[in-house]
Amino acid sequence: MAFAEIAPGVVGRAKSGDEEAFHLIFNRYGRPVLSFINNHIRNRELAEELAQETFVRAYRNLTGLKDEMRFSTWLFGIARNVVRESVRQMRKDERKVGLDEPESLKLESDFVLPDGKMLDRELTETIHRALAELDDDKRIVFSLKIFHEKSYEEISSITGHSIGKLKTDLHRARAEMRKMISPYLASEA
Amino acid sequence: MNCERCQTELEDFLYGESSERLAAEMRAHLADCAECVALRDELELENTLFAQFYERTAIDPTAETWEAIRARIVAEPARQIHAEPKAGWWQSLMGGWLTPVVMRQAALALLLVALSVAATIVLMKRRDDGKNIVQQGGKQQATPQIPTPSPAASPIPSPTMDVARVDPSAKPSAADQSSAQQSSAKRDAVKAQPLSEQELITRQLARAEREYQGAIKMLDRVIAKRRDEIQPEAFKQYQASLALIDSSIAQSKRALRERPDETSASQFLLSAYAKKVELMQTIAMN
Repeated sequence: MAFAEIAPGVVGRAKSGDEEAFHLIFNRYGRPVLSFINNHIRNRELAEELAQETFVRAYRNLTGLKDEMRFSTWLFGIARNVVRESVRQMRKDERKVGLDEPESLKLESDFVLPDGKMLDRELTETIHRALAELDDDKRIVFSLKIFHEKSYEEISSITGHSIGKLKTDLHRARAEMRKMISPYLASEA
Repeated sequence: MNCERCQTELEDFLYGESSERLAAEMRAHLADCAECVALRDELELENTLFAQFYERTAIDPTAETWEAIRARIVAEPARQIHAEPKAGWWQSLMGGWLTPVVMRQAALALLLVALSVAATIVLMKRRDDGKNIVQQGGKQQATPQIPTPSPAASPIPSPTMDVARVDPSAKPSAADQSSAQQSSAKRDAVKAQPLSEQELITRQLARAEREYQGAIKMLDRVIAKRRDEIQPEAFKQYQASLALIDSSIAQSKRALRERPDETSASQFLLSAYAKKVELMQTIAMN
């Protein structure tokens, strides 16, 4: 889940155009960024495209990054913008892949779980569905806080929302998620 | 602290977002309140399930994703270009995207081109000297001159290195005569192993070609990075010229395949490569 920041020296090297350093950055953050995007888009192919776009924009704008210690926050901010633009476009095109159409939930079957883990599989699908039903603001704060363990301050930098709003959105998101997964909570307890 | 306050603050407490003082109060309350402890356990269980969900569903990018990113960042315009007044080609590379490693590679590639081409030309010249002497029955005659790159000049052979500019009526110079005499002295050895010399030339030509291609690839990257700075009309002309040169390269290669021992085809091929590198350098510079 949570991950340490990459060494600022690596970011500095990437800033000066060192492709190898940027590859290290990609290796470090490729997984969380792609997973973050996929949790919003729920379309693996499109998520890879958007992750690609995120890293290219990051490379392009690296020289504008002031605090290298906050690289991942900055990177997630780019990912969030890329996702938002894509979602807007999809809505505009009335395609809405992965957000509103129940059909898109079929993508969840991509996750292969060991035999006998039917409960896990169902729970995974339930959480996916619950996430999909959150509105964008709630989904983003939930994902950044619960999956990526970002602080409110970092999430505020990423989203531009006040900490008060983030707390409210997160609390509501958790309440909505809880309703969906409550049957599993009983079985786990 | 009462239960209401504790339950309001519980989520932030579990995220580690509470102040030290508040966290201490929370811990004290939780030590004595079964109801709040039950709620805390529930939230912790939820957190565990969400963590498991993330671990199960997190996905790693494919190698293709990195390759696609790499291709795009390589094509990005050079950084820091706007920081200084227009600098020269080499200075742009120094101050821009070229790292010392890439710079060394570029210099090495150009040096290898020069060395390979020089070696190829020397070999071809030596063979031609031998052929001419054999064909003329030992009579001295003007040998078609194959220009050799000057060490003082650019490491890239000049495009003037073209057989069309050789004057066949020129009288042999002292150097040519000396060269012919030296070739004569080597003639027996050449006759003894004629195929190996041809093979050597072919191999050397292939090497020069590879080095040219390496330099071209590198220049291509520079140009791709500077693509946005190049005037559309200039870029169009560049592409048209490049297409012509590529066509010459293809024709020379075809001719060489048909007649591998044809010196002029080798010369044309090297000349076309030199022109291509020169053209690309010009675009990369301006």
